[in-house]
Amino acid sequence: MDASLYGFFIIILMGLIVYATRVAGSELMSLFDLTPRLEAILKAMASSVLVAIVVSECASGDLRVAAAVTVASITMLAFKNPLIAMSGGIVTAAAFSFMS
Amino acid sequence: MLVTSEILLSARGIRRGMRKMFALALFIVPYGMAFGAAAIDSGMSAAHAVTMSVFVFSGAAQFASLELWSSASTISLLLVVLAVSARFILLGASLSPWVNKLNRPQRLAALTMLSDPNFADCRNAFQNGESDIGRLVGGGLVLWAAWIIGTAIGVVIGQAFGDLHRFGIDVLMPSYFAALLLAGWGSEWEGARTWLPAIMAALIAITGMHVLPPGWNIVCAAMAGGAVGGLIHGR
Repeated sequence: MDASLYGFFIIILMGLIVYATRVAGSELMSLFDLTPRLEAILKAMASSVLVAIVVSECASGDLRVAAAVTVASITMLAFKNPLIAMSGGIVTAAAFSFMS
Repeated sequence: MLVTSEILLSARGIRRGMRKMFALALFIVPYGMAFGAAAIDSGMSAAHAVTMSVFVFSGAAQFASLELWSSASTISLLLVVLAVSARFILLGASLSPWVNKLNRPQRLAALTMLSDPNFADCRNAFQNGESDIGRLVGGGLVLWAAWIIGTAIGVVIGQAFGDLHRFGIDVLMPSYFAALLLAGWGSEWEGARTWLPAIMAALIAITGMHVLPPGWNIVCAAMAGGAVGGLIHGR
């Protein structure tokens, strides 16, 4: 598709869909009371999303991504700073790309 | 968990959020450049790419759409966008104990800025007594700005740098999320209540990768992890 109007139309639709997902959780929860159990579920879901993303990225990439995440994790344990850890991961991935 | 009754949305909170996310936003610029360059590579126009970053504001959805941009199926593209974005529903639900204390117009406005990094920052902060949803908004604003700026730069000069994978930018999100997970586990470890859902999520995510359409494995993994967390909790 070139810079067509149809392309912009699709982009608007995409934007609406993503926005809908951004507000849907909060809207749904306004219909229910927050019991301790529901809170436990939400807490588990929040970290499960992160786990799922990290794990699938490692599993789908080659050694490079897994190595980057490993270095990022070790760096995090050492420095307790997510940005430093992230940088460690990026540098590791760049090093892998450089060496292959 | 501390839930103050005085949840608010203020300019001060917004400024705080901007400060908190600023450093990460600097890294989002090259990430946006990667998208801009990849978009041009996939046959998308520069105008479309930048507009997408403005209106969609989601790396996952935008990168996923690149695969299908030149195909004939708009429906497939939109379904993929929905699938990869469905996790926002869970993030929004997670923040609802605090966000839902705002009035509806404020909520609907604030949630435009919901993104993974400021979600993680805010959830942590709210659990520790932060009461200003402006933090989410401000954080989102700088991330959004960086994303748009990066995309704009990327469509223009991205190709000159070659494949940004060379610089490892593609591992930005998994590295950052891994670090966030460790931070969370460090402060909130609850034994089996923490690791059992995580193991379940990991298993579902991996097996779902090849079996389910893109993005669905994340959603299923999160729901499974949540279910396990709920089951362990008991009544």
